[in-house]
Amino acid sequence: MRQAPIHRKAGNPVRQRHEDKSKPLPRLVPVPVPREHARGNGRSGPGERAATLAADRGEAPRLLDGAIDITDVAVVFQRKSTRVVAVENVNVRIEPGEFVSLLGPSGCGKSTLLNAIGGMLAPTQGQISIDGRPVREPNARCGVVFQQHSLFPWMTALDNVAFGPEMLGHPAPKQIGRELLALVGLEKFAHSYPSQLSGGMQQRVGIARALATRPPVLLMDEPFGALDAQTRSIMQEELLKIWTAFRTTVVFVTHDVDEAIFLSDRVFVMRSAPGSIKEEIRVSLDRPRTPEIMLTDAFGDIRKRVKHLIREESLKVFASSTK
Amino acid sequence: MTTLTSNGLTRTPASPALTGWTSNLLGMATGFGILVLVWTVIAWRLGNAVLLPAPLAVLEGFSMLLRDGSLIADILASLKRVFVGFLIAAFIAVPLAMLLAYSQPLRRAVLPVINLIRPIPPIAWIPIAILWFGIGDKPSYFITAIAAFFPIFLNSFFGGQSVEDQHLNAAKCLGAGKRALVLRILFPSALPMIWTGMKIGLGQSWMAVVTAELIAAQSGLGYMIQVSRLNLETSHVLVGMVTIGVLGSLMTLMLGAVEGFILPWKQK
Repeated sequence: MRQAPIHRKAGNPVRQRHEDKSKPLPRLVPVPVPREHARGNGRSGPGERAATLAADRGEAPRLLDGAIDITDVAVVFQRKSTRVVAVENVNVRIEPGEFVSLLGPSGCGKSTLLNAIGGMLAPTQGQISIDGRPVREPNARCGVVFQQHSLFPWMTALDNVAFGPEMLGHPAPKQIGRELLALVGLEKFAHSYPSQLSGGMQQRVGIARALATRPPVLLMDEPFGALDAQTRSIMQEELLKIWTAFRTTVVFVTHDVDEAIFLSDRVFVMRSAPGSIKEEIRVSLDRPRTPEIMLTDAFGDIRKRVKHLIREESLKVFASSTK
Repeated sequence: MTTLTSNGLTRTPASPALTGWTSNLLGMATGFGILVLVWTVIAWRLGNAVLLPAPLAVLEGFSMLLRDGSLIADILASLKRVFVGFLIAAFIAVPLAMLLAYSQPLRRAVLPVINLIRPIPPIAWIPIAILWFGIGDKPSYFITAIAAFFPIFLNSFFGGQSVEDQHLNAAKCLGAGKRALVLRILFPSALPMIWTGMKIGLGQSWMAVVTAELIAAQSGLGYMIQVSRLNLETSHVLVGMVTIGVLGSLMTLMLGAVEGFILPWKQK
């Protein structure tokens, strides 16, 4: 059973009082980022109003922020005279607070789809909306963790993390920055520049930075792809812990089968050229999960099925490339 | 002594006494020693102080001009012109470059104009500068500013253009607006290139001030060289030239020394 959201709801005094009673959380202090800011530009959607009403009645607020609706989306790149269909015919609804992975071989359009969700790329066709509001350009409703080298090299780790809250007009951005650095265990490196940190540390700062604005949706584009296997495994566990605390909706792009299954509630296996959703696999393993879960039969069954699907796709790509 | 390296080749390691700045200093002294030696020999063989005075004569001229205060006054006049012109150029070039790097419509309109003006050498602006500003400090400000503008602008512009999309996207996802994108992302991204542009620009400015003073001023190192030439005091001409060289290198050194404060994230 999923917990109610805690920190994303900060900023609303009514809800905050309610949460303080019910769900105390270690270390993390709710941050009063104004909701209108964090949710982008504007009016609250129907979901938010419903949540407020629920809170007013003294009920536990239902999770309503961070729903992603992808309707009939296609992304076509026009390169000179050739048309490349990167993604087509994608119809997905991602529930608030859900952790989903987009899994597939390189070039299957999974990053393209992620970029479209984040507003970094406009779909050629169809619509993507978050909590009922269409995504048009990158904004603070989606936090993004990139593969690597996305920290601002001219800012210290602390300034990187504090940047978002500062942009959203928070009165004490450095305070939030310190809290989030502590959350990812890097408070000692607050004044280091990204170039002085290891790859794994940089990604932890990247995650802290993306979460500092309390976005309802967190997009992660192969965030651990450049890390060594040991660091990677530790980071996956850390990520799940952080997600448990924040309960943002996470869309996670990877080509690592175990990683996708270990982290996710649902895994979308993608078909390549043109990219689309081949199959959706529900991962109903208990949480909290530890790496030992990968040794269980249940995990093994899912892995077998996913690997089979991926292999089918890879073979198809391989065959078409040798034609 | 020889050591065996991993690829099986033998080599002689450098003597520890000759490493770091001591060896740099030694190299520098050798270079200058040879220069002065060659200069002395040629001056001695030539035997004509108007064509080429010996280093010693230049040193005498240097101490004389230093004692009567005229050298210091000329140096200060030139330095002032360089810094004022340089600052004017930097204050126009950097913001303009950032705006053009950010806005495509602006870039389309302004860049062709800049490309048209750029090939005109600073010296070609001198007649216009005299017509507009007369003789004295002002035309020199104009010329030094022109000279510094293009290296600063071009480097800043390319620095701004080379900003990574990922950084812009990350900033937008963190709620940054247009103003923050330019000031907090574009500008620091470009800063290493801006800094390079400034180093080149200051050098260009310093060269241009001498040119400007040869014609459009009645003080400064350039003017001093011109007057000494008319008086056939070649040793004073050389004092001026050496001073220009020394001050120019000092400026470069100074900029290198403060680089760590300007670009702290580039330090190891």
